[in-house]
Amino acid sequence: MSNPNARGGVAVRIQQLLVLLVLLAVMLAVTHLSSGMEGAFGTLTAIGFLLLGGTLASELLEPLKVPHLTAYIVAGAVAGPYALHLLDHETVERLSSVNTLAIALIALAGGAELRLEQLQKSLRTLLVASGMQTFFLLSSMATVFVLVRPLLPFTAGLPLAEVCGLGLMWGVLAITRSPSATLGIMAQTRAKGPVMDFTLAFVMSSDVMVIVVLAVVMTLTKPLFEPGATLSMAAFAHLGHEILGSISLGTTLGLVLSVYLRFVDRQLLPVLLLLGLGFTEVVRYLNFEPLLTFLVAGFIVQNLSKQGDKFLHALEGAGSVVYVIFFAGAGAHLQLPLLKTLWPVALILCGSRAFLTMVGHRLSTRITKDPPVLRRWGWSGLVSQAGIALGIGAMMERALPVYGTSVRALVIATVAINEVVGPIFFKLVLDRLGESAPEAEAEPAAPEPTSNDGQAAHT
Amino acid sequence: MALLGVSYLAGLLGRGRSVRGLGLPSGVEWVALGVLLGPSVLGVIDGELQRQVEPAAQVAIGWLSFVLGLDFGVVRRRRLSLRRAVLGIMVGTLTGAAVGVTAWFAIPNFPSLAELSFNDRLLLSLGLAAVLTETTANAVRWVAERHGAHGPLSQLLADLAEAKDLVPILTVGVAICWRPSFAWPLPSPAASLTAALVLLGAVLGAVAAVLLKHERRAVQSWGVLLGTSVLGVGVTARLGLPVPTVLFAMGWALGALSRRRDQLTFMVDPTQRPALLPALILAGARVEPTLLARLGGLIGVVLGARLLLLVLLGTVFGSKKVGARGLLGLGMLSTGDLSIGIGLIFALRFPTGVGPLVLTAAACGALLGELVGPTALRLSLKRAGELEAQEKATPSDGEPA
Repeated sequence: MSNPNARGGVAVRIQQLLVLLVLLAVMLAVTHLSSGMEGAFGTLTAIGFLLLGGTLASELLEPLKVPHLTAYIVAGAVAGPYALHLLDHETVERLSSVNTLAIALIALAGGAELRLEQLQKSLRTLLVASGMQTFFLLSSMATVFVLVRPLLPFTAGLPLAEVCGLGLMWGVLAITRSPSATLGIMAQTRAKGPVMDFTLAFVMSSDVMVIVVLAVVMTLTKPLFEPGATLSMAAFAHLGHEILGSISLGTTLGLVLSVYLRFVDRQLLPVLLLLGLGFTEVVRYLNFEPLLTFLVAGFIVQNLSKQGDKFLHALEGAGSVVYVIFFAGAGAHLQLPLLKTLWPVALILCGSRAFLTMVGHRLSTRITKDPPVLRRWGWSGLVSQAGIALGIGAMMERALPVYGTSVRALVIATVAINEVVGPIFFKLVLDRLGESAPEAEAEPAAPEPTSNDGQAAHT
Repeated sequence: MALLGVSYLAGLLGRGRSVRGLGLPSGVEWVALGVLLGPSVLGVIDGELQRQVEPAAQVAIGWLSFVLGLDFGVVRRRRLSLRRAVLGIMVGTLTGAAVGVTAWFAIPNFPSLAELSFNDRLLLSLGLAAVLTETTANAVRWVAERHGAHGPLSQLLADLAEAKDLVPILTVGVAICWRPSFAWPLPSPAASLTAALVLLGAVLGAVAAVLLKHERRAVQSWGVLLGTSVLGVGVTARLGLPVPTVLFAMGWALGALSRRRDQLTFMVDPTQRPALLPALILAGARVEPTLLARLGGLIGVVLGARLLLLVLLGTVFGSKKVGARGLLGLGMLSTGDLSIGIGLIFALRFPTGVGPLVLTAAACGALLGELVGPTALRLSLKRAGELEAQEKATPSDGEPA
């Protein structure tokens, strides 16, 4: 939500810093006066503060070329329960409804950004890259996990087969990407070019692959963690139902949205809010996957109607505000004390993942004979991780009752590193390759009132 | 979700920034819907649901106050003269004083209120004054746009309605700050805490003005406006303090400090009614019709005091043309969104005390104003000759000037 137009004069930055300090003072005073009175109004306060604080942080860090979403995360982490404690744990948890909305908007925008024409052109590249990034990265990260087990206290005394099972689950975690980070960077840089196009298509489609692979690995490894458990195919039936149902529902939703945009084309903001907050619950009730459903819906609007650009414009409008709260909330969620304890092993795992992602990408692009720029830098957008990885971490905690908490802590620590480092690296690459749009290409300015409007508005 | 759906429908039915879409100037039809859905009749909006939507209602009332503050002192892009502003505030103060003083002396005559403590009696009087002071600018605008009124009298009424808003906003501030729900370190909280709230609003308005100074894009401007508003509502409601006072001050400070006031008003004005509908419905759900049986007399007395004073003021301000004077006061009887919003703030803050009575009085005032106000206003303007010129100019459809 920051402003690329604002010329970063020192005076402007000082003003912004002062405003941030004023906001911090207000928050500190309120926190002091209303201790124990948070509730729903604490959440409202948090939303307002994160929106303004995140925006200001992104403006202040702009000269360092830090991506806005990283600045939002930093702002959230600083205000969160592990640093200044302006937001408590309960308030941060209450922000989950914003996350639900943000994920729906991200998936809709992600689907709407995928153009059939472009996908057809790069279909071979995408298929090979998906296969390589999934199977090569999964198996090699599983191996890394087994190799670093002396650094993981919770694996002490576990049989090797169980550690290998854990490694496979870690491999699944490694193949998750971050659609939100990709779209966040795209929204800021308005990048266009082979690396951006490839990253967008890859990241958006990789979620389907992750869902399938996760179900397979969870089913196969279950007997390793639960001695009495047997291999059951029921999970695959459930998976089929989930994927096909999500695609069908997403297609229907996409068609309905296309008709709405064509014939009504008003009140898009409430419609998006209703979809994000209300329709998501319907999708969950049906045991379908919200991310996939909205992704397909966005794809249908873009490719089966002429309403795609209009839809994307509406999504950008609503999303740019929601994303600030979403990423700042994610920052507030970051368990900084955990990172302090686990950073050495988390760093090894993150470094290995980034390196193996690069190797996998080089191999796949060599097979498909892609242009040099894509071969060299196409992997840069695949480092970021966020919500899906954390979701898998929570699943691992439930699946591994004895040491699941420790595994989840490690997941959170690694995702925290990737969440911060990934977007910085991706933006840096896009800037250096010249795919980022020049700052002059700004979004439309706020409309000016005409004399008639003014008369009505000011009566 | 249902309330969001209602807002959506209202946005579709309303037609942009004009008031010529469906709906009454006071919004009382939505309050009636709330009464119907509330625990007194159908029971759809029960206590639990009311608690869940309370934050949304507070945000809505805050947003309305912000929009009023942003545009305060400006009518049809014309800045209100100091004389008119002072006059409007005086009229508002007189109206509020008439209602408050009447309530203060009437309260002991009602058995169920006879035992009220001094503080509660004062709170109730201030509350009734706060909700029965406004003359909604919507009603004046409604008549002006639907019937094409134009002239010195309709301009005077628009100016007075605009300036009067300040009085209920400050009254609700003083009334609720009288008894803060937390330990306020300074003496005489009614004055010092109200001043602190105005200062907080002004600071937030200044923050928004600084951020908007370097921001020209529409979406980002919305982000700043929403961020500061939601922060203001959250901070204030979290402390159990009156949201309208802070958000009005914030809007006013932003309008005073920003060069983009017209542009910002243009952006936010159409959102006022759709955003407020959840609050109006919640207000209806919290109205207690049984109170009318027990305390309808008190409500009648204070409404009568308001009516008498406005008729008197109408005689003073009315055109010298025959017949306009008597009706003009009745034409100023319309209350609207702001009064109902303030009533709801009272009901939320004092749910078992004087709050429900204040809200019920606000709803009754809006209903009476709706039945009498627009018609009387139209007739008085017609008799003053301010409708005829327009009707001749645009005889077919009554489009606004």
